[in-house]
Amino acid sequence: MPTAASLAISAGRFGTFGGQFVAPVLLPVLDRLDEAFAAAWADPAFHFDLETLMHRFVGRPTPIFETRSFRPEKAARIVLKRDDLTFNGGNYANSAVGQCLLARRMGLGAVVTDTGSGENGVATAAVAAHLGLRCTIYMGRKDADQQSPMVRKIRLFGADLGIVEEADRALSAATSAAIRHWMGNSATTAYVAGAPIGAHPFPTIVATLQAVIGRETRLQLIDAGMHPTALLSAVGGGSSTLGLFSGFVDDPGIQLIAVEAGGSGEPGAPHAARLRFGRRGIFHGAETLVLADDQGQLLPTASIAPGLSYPGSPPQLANMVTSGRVTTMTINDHEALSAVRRLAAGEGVLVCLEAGHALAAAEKVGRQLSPDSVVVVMVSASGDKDIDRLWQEE
Amino acid sequence: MENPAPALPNRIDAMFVRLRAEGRKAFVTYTVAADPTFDASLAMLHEFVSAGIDLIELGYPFSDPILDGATIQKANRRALAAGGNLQRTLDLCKAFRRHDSTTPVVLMGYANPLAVMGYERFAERAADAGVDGIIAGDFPIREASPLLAALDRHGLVMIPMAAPSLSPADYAVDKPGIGGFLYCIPVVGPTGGPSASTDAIVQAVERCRQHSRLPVMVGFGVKTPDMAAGVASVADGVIVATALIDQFDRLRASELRGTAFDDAVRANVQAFRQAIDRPWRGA
Repeated sequence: MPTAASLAISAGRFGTFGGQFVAPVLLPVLDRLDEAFAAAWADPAFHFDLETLMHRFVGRPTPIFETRSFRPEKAARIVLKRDDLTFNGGNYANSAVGQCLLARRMGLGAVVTDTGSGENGVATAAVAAHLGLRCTIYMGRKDADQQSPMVRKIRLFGADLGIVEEADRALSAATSAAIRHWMGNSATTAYVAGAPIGAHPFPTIVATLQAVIGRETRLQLIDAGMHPTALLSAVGGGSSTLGLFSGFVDDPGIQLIAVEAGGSGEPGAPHAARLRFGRRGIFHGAETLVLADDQGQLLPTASIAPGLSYPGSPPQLANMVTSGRVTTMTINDHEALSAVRRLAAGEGVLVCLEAGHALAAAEKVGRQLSPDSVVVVMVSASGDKDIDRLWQEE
Repeated sequence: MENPAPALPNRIDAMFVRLRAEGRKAFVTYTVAADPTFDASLAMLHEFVSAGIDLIELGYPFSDPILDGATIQKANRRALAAGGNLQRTLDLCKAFRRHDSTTPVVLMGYANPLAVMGYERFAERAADAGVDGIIAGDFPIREASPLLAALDRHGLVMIPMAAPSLSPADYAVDKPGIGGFLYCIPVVGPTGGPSASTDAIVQAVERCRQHSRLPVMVGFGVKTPDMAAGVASVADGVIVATALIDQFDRLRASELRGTAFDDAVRANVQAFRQAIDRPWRGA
């Protein structure tokens, strides 16, 4: 089975991005994890467990689905990769299952993670329940208030949910809280990375586990006789984006477009477009592109999609953008909201606001292409969590 | 294992030479620059020295202090609100140096402000401001080559952090740009967390001494003067951060102002100083 580790240029470095910028006390923990993952990945028994759960617990493979009415006139065909049709946490289930299996294999009895959109929290809580692991999830107060169905679902799965009132009260603060928790409990507890961000080996582990999206999509497109011109994915932590892109990164003729959150779109207002506007810095364990001021303070981010509102970026993606392999687009709140609503009304498909950003970008890209060309849109999860904001009763 | 002693010893080395001659152990505290204001912070640095602090860890405020517990997170937020940042921290050290040319000052904080300023520019400005070393919580030696080279060019050192679980290759490293002392952390978890047992501290310090000739200072979890005395009996120095900041927070919330406030700060610091200097008779 190919691994996304081949994307790494040297151990833990993607070009000049990546590394292990953590408290030294975590270094031996990361070293053990690195070895354990390599051993697991070489073990057919681990793959048997992983693939069994991917089929029967997560519901993979997920289909691709071509829209009918949702397509600007004389524009390219739009094909959705439907990870919203998985159980529990959309595409986050891919990495949560693998990392929880790894935790169990390493003899750890507990897992801790963070969540912005709630998807990684639900995914981790569900598989932890299935595997009998104790589970702690951190979520920012702002995100928890906006996505109450996810909060209830996490608790229903028996996880201990810590609501974070500090800093931005969103994903960034939740991640810091989860890392602090892990630092104090690393002898018994595995940190489950929701995204290919953070210190080595997390970016490689998550990208390797998410590469299933790209493998499936590639085969499904070939099967359907489609040759895509472009693939688009919204970047939060980057798990679905790297997952999808990893299947196509070696096809230079296929455009890979990372879609970032533009926030309200008003001049000077906070956004989350750090691949486009970020500077080189060090955040949450890795050297990468971050939204920071000239003194290195992290800037506040904003987006209608909580999963996209984060100031750091995955080091692999930072490298792919800097090297020119991946291009970026920015979509604002209103455009994403409109795309999600029109897709729901026109096609009967409800995608999350995060994916709505990629959808809106695909419309723009599609208008520049011929009607027989194909663009693929990553749907990381369903829009059930966003219903309160998508529809208000009169 | 250590670098050969430079012709002119830096302030940290000079401090250990002096303390050894006096038969005393170092007393170190930590404060965030510009917490709660630049001027109050400057006055506090001088107050520390006159109350018996040997070395100051000066925190440069960061928006995301991931290694820190609630007390120091709050201190960072107050400092940021007062306009604190890495450059202002260098300004503060420079202002401190106008009246104090001997007390070592070690900056303490996180990697991102250093990366954004640029390692060379940082090292140059820090040397000019009279900084002696740097402790960066999320900047392990295995990632630090470019930073170490810049520090070395400007006569500064990075202080390695040592923990019982670490391989010596991650802290006992003989490389230009590394020196000062070993920051020995006998517990896991963020600052302001639980304390280590005396046995654990003794073992952690002994392990440091086996692998490095740098002086060993113990921090994280030193909460009371008695604990500080215990640490001083085995290590070359004691680092008290969260416990003192908590006390100062309470003083600020009290009605004490002016000299009464200064006296109370001094009394808190001196309680630790006296405990560290007192002959150790066991816990």
